[in-house]
Amino acid sequence: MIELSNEVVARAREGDETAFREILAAFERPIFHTVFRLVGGRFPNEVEDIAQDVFLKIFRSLDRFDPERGVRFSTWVYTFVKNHCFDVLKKRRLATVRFERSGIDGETAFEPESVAPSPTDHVIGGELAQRVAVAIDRLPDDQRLAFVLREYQGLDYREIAAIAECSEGTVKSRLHRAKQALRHALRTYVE
Amino acid sequence: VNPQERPNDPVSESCAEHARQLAAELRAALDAAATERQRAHRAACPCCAEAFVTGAVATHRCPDLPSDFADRVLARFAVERPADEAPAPTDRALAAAVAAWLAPDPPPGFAARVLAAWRADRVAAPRRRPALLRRVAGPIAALAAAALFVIVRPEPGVEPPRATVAAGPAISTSVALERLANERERLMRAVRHEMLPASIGAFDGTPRLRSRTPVRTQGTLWHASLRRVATASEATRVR
Repeated sequence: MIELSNEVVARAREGDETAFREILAAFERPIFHTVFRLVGGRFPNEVEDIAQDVFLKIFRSLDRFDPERGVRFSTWVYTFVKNHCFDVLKKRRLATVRFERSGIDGETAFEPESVAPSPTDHVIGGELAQRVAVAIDRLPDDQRLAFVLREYQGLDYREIAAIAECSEGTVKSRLHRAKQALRHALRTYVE
Repeated sequence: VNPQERPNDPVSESCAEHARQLAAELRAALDAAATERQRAHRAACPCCAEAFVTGAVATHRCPDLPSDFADRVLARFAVERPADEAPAPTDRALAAAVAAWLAPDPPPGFAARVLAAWRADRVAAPRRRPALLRRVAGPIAALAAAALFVIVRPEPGVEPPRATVAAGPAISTSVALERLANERERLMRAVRHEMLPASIGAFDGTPRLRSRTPVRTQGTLWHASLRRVATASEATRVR
């Protein structure tokens, strides 16, 4: 669990660059990987840009973070990740629909970017890696969010519920359904 | 060495065995390297900290975080936010700025009264506010939204009104002030044209309700508050 002292946030709010760097150092890797898990399957070449956008939004909004309200800074940060990634996915889906309705050959004109395995992938997992990535990518957005935050980022149910703006019970249910779907998709490896 | 070509040659048999040994050693070395790389990857990558589903998730693809990621983010941020930019003004200073915008020559305590007026309006149902915003004419909605975002910024220890979320996309204080400045003339024309009541009494600095809409529901109460702010502004100007 990543947590940053409110003092660092307060310094960042005052414009202290060292504090911005501390926030980046604490969150750049988890945010980068969460963005990758949420949108990277479809837009692998834009993960870095999207992660940068998330940080800019966080930095611009720092004066709205109020520790007095009992919200953890990490929860607040992940809320930005979720909102921005879902916005990106939503916009791209709309773009796809528009494109297909425009009369252009939808099948060949718009292809989601594929996740090409690197040579390293072949050495350390190859096919399974690809299958896991694809299976996660095919989960519905809300299930993928719950799964990524829980299994990759190690957040607790309460925090995920706050980020996803739903109840803890809903988070558990989404996780259960996500794991069921993944087990089904990866059944040849599980059995 | 190809033992198929010379199957009866003892030297070839030996070479074939040697080749098999070499291949086995090579395979073992590759496996060891892969395991080592996997172990190193698992240690470095937080994604791989937990196994799930198959227990073999450590074989997944992880993207490489660019080493200069932080620098790139800060560089972009610096472009937006010059280093010499003043720190964000306090809530009270913001309220005063907005009050000054609404009433160029505000009487003493006007900013506090604007804040108090807004807080009183928090009884309106937050869910209805976006609909009300849409129903009110465009420029007035813009005026209301811009003013709301700035005016309702809570003081420390005061729970922020839910309307800041419900009324529309949150914007930074500097953007809100800039928008207020940019929209000023257009909005004031709209205010004069659409919201100026038939008669305005002497303005004593207290925002007052001079609405043509009867205050019946929570919604109209809030609607009326828009008129009240605009009326207060115009009243000051008239005076």
